[in-house]
Amino acid sequence: MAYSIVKQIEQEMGDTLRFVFRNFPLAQVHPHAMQAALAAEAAGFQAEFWPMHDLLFGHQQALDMDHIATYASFLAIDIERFMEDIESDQAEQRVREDFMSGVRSGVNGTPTFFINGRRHDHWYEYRVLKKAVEQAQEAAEKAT
Amino acid sequence: MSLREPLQAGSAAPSFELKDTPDQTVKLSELRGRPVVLMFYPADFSPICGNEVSLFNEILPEFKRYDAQLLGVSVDNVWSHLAFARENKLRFPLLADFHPKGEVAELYRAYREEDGEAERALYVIDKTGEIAWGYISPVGVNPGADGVLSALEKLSSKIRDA
Repeated sequence: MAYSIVKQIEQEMGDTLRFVFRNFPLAQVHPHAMQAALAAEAAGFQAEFWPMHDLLFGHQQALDMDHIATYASFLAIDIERFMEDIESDQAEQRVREDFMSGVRSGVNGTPTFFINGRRHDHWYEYRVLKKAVEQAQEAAEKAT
Repeated sequence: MSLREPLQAGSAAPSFELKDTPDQTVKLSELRGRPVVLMFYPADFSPICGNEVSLFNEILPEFKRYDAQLLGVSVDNVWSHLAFARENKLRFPLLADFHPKGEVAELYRAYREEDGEAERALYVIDKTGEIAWGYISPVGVNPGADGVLSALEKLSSKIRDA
């Protein structure tokens, strides 16, 4: 749900919005969250992070390894290397760093949004999130 | 709405003994020698609480690094706690501040009389049983774990310096 809301806002705002994603897998609650995060990072090692990210978030009910391998086959990547990278320490370390840096910036669940560095403590329903982004944009414009 | 002030750092953490399962209790004094993280939250199964306990559950390995024991506390009874813990796969105890209701939360200035529920309050208690850090969050806001980790970090650097 959050994913499609963000997509819509990204499309509407074009180059005036930069969207940064950080992994925050709640592995105890979502059994496949960790491997999905690792898969996106592994694809990222071959410069296909966002396409993999989109596939994963577009299929949140199908994140087992079989499906992840299928998604990888849709991308222009070396599958063998990808499957090795998923299990690599580098991928794990990246996800872990994202997670802990998230905790230290006050991430309190998924999804948590930060807009121009401030945690958005309200609903992330489309209208609310869009308005918050626009307000941040106005505030930033005024400040310059 | 004005927020309550937490108990002051340096004061003695009020002692308590609460049930964490139908036939067992947890006593604060039994945890001397280790830092304790106390997480008061309004209610099992409420949306924000689910997020908050899941987050803390996920960073248990970080708490372990400081040898800290995490305890969740709400006014729900042990049966509710058991179901809530099972649903969220929690690996830390939830204490039932159920009878007399909210007594421990009250001691920690974390009881909301108007709702009959605990505040969303966090405390870090050092290994000698003193309050090291406390925070009471607006009830609709999940405070996250940053403050707790900073407090634990401070405690452990104090020990190293000493």
